[in-house]
Amino acid sequence: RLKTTILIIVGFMAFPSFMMAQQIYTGQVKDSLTGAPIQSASVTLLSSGKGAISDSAGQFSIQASPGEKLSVSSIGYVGTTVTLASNTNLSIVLHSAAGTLDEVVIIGYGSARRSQVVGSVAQVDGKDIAARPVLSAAQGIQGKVPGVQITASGAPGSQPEVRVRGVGSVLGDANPIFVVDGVITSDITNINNNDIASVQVLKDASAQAIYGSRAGNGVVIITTKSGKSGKMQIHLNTYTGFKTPTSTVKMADARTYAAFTNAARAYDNVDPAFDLDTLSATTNWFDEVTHKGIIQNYDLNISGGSEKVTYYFGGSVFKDQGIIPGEDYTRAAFRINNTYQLAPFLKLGNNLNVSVYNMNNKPTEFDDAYRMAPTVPVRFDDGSYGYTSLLSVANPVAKLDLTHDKGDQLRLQGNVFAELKPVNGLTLRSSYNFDYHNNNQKVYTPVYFIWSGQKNDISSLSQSNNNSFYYIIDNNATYNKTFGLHEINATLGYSSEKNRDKSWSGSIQNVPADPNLWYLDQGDNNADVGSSGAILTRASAYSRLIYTYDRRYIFNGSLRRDGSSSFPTDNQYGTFYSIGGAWVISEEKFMKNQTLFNSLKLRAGYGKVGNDITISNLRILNEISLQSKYYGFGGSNTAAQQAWTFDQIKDAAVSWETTKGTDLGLEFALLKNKLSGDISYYNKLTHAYIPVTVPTTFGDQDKIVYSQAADVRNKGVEFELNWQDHTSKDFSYHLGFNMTFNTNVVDHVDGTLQLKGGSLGNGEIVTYTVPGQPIGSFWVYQTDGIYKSQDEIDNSAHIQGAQPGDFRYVDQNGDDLINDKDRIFAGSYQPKFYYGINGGFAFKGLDFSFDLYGNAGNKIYNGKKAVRFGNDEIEAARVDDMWSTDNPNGTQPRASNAIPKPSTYYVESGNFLRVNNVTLGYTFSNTQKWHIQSLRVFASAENPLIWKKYSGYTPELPGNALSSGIELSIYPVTATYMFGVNVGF
Amino acid sequence: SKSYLNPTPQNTVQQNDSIYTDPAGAAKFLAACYTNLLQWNESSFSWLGLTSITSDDADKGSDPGDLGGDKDQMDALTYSATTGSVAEGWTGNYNGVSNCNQAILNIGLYTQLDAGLKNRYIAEAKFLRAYYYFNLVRMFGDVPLIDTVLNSENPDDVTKAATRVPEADIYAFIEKDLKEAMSVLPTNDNQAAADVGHATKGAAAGLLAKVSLYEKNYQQAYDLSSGIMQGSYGTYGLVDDYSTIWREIGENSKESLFEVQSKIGVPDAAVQQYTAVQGIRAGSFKRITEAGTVSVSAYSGWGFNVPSQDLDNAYEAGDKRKKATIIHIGDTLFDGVILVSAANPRYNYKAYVSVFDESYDGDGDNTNKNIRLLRMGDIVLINAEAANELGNTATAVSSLNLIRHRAGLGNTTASGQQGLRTAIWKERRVELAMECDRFFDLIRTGQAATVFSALGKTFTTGKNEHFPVPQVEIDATEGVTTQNPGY
Repeated sequence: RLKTTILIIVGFMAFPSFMMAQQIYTGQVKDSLTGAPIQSASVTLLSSGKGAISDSAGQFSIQASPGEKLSVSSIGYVGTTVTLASNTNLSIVLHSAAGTLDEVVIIGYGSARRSQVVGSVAQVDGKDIAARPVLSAAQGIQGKVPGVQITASGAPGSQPEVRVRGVGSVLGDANPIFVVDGVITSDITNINNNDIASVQVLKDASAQAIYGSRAGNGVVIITTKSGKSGKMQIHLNTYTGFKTPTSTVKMADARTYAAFTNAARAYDNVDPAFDLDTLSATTNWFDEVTHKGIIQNYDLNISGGSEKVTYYFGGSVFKDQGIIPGEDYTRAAFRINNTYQLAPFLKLGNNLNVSVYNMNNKPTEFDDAYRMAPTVPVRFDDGSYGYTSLLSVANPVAKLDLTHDKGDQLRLQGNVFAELKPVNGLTLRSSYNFDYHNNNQKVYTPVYFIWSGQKNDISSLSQSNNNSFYYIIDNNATYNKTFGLHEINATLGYSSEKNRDKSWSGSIQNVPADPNLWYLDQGDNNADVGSSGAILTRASAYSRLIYTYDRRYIFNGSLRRDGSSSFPTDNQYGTFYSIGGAWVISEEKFMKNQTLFNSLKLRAGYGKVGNDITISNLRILNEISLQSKYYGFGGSNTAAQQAWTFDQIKDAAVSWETTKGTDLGLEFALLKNKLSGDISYYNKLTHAYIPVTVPTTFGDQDKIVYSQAADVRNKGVEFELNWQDHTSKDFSYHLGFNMTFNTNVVDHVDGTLQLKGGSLGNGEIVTYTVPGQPIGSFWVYQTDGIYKSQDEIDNSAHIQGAQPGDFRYVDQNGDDLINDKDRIFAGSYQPKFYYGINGGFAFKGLDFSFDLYGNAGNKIYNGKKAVRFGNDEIEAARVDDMWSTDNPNGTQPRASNAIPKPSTYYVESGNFLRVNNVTLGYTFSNTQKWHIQSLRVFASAENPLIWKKYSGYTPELPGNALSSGIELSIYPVTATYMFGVNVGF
Repeated sequence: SKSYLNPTPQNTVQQNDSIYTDPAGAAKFLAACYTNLLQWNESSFSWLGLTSITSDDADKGSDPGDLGGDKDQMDALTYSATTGSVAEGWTGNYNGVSNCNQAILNIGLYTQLDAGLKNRYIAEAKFLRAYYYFNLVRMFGDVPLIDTVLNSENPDDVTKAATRVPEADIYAFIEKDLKEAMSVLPTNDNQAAADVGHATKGAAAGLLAKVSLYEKNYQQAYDLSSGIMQGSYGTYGLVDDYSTIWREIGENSKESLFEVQSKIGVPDAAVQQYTAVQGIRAGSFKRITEAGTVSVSAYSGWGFNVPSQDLDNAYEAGDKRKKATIIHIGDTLFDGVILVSAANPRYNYKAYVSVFDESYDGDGDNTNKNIRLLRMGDIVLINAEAANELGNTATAVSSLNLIRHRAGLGNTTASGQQGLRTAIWKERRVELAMECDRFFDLIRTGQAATVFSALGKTFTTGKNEHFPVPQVEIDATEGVTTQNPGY
């Protein structure tokens, strides 16, 4: 963690003196507010570089001469320099640096004081992330950073969806890139959260532009921990707990369902399906496909070092069973971060991470469990799986039992680097950063027969392997120099990257049921095998200049040029840039006499960033397409003939997807740094790829040509306020609030392109992306009540087959027909605002914290409710005040087995507020008697509560931008209750 | 550097001169014209919806709530420009046209390919292009005529892709392609065993005979059908046992002029789910074995496209074709399977696969069921109809009786041109039942409005002769492609 710097000292005034003989200086380092001793502060003599480390009582001793300068620093504190005098007993007080303008912030290819940052950069401390029982740091920052929306599912092993200041890319991956110690990746599930020192989110173009070509959807920089010279530190952290679904949906019991179904069939003149007098017990299918899952984490890390060498070793095991019986995810991760100061001007180092996971996958059966008839038992009396031929729904329990899907991964990630400082102020850094994945998957499908709608006549095995090796070679020079009032920080660098993917897969039939025989050799006949590969390369030159005048005025400019092998040769290069400035008002002379503001800074920036990963394989314009089907000329005695043709059209003009944006911000701290905050405005425009539909007659097999034909704008205001105070030595508390208002709108789409999406899988689509509306807006019929009579139907525009008791749809254009022209835009999943609230207190050994997250102003399409194929289970509330001839004024439509029309009836509010985490901990004092330095125990609840209007399982629905916010078979967010221990030796 | 940013594309063949050196590549371009026949959009669920479920021969089937996307609309003739099956019919056939245009262009570039083989390959591609256009013109009437590989950057080609040309021009183009194919392709007698499945002279002649019937060019239909029956275009004839035509033992027989080859195993060379969508739904089966009658698991599927009560009633007493076309509950099938119960009362026997007596590997989606696209039963009835229209009553009666005798029926009792005409149409229905011919035949013969009206369905004259042009195609051309009347 690279917070540091500033000084404060006190003790004695330096007095003029001459060099004296060396003597032993001793002292204590303390926190300025609480007076608590600061452990592991590094104490260094500037003249010789000799150093010492404070112990657990904050004590240190060092041999020095009067007149020498002693620098004292500790992570999270503003450092200080003391000129030694004759008094050899020092008392050194450090101020917390958190949130101040002197806090050191990682800005990509370097760091800067917060005051020098002209873009929007949010920082989250590693310990805030490690405190939550989640797999990835991406989820750990949920609710903590304004402008960053995290949408997670509860599925074990999954990484949540991250949106930095709205969604820009329409297609593919709109997640930011993650930069882990210099390795650029899209997947950080391999990183143990306890190994993370800090996370920085670069939110606007002027912060991102140094990563310009890759930064179109934002940049998240993750810095892992390193050792510090001094005494060895050992930390053991562990927690264990269980997971349950946070909320459920109340379904109809067997009798209600049967009566509804009989009534629906009666309208269609079909015989009743049930005799209400002979129904057996109700099956609660949701309960049958969920259970209490166990979650566990064990983490041990050892760090320390000398003046020449620092080391950090971390090892951890994380296990998540999830809430679906039979699924689990187990990850072991090991980290070695070392540095070697070979000479005062030369440092070598490495950050290496090895991770392995194993997982058992199960299908998310929440849709089948939702639709399956409650009259069907899990198993019949004879032990066979229950079914009904009324429904094309698989027995969800059988499906879980019969799924054998195992995956594993070995991942090696890290870097080695060398830093050379040939002259004062200049640092040359070379690094080799790499990331290797090796993934295996094996799926076995046994022979089974439940009924003709759920059977498998022949066993099969499929096996696959994907591996990739990615590297970036990065060489850069940074020059930091202060000339009087002028300060220059310049960076110039060059990098080349290459990613090589390889994969193979094979499948075969008739494999025995014993797991030890699940190999392709054991099947009969020939295996169907395939393999593939891909290479992606990039070459980039980048530069940045930060000029600071008198600590008051800051100019920042960056320029980057990138080439990518994703594009046709003529369009491979893109130029990205940013320009920005900041004014540190609090450094002005006229602010010297006020006491309200401790810091006040205004910033503004503009820049252009890009993205080359939205659509892969755009480069080859004239590619032969191997057809998936062969042709069987000559009957069974002749080998089938392979087929190929040209059937894909590509846009020859494709190049970088670009985002241009402006950021304005005001940062402040006041009342002795007790209140701090940040208000920002942003406005960015993404020139996005969309699937352009061409007529089939062009000869494009799927009718889709990817082209940059849409402009998507995200603009908004975000703010953050934090209050922290220590009212006494024993009591401190903090409270924080952040909120982001975002407007997402499609400014322009070329021509009359059809960007319809959101297929429900029953022939209906419910989203449409058009200029003037947010991406993926729900596009549905408007209901305005229920037909009460046949007369009413006959005298109005209606859909074919409408009966009394059905929804009335508004004939928007008055043409007496109900068709697509009558659909309206009924909101989208893009929230109008989202927010986080966090707080806590510490009283003596006790600590308490809470963390809330919410969003509002968006809509959800209750897809699972809107997909009915007939005779499906219903929600319990469906029959409340349902229309029937006996209840002619009912407000809910009649019982029906018709496929529902997409309508406003299924569009629900997406507003929610969720308690992310509540933790209560206790730190024991006087633990030395047990030969340990520190001991804390804690109990924590993750996602225990949610307030939502939405009637489904969860309002948090990760998904593609064009069709997000449709709940079909989501893995719900889960609640975790756990207990843990942190021990330090 | 430039080469660093241009790595050799992996697992991708890029078009350049080198791909035209190995003649094996030409066979692959040709094969793509055929593999389109295996697609869902071309020959499977969409096709069954457009040409069979629409007709009076078949109902949607399956569970009442399972609509198969939009098959309820197909059954009720209420489809619109946004109905998926309609769009898939357009896509499936134009994909075929594109593959044929690519084959014709690219096969021509193979300099080391034997000239005779090159001509044959190109002729086969033209035969298939004609087949795809025949489907398009029957479904949509006026359609864009794409006879070359288009360049989407060329404004003339963009116009061509969007502009519908009159039906008559499409028919003229089909005739031209088929005549060129006929002049080059070998007869089935001269075809190597390993080439079975490739289009032959007989296939081209047969398809042209059928096309001629739609054009009401009865002389040409008569000449070609007579020629085929007399052996001028290869060796063909009616097989003795009607019930074997659609079974594995009837594959590529003398009955068959052209059939889609569906092959099980690795690699995948089967028609996509043609039998699965029509398979018996929720069936329970028994089978007589040495151990007595036991419950068994027979081939089953989704239960769509089921024979209608109306078709069931259409057979004369004693017609062997009824039990060879329709599976009823309680029937014992050719492989000894007894259908005890199922979700629907009737199923399409012609789509039934025996898991006991035929090649079956457990993969119900990809089965060994060839689709008979053109067979002698059709040709003989074309001959009868053309002869009757030309006033050649004796030939009409004798051809009609050939079909009736095989079905176990006596001579026709119809007489007079109109009487015979009706009898031949009736015979076409039962002979070709569930073979995707009926809906187009009703329109061709002008019977559609009357027939559907009797069944309580609305067939609007001036509208329902064609399907709507898919809205997605109209939108993709920004409205340049026009809609059919009434939609």
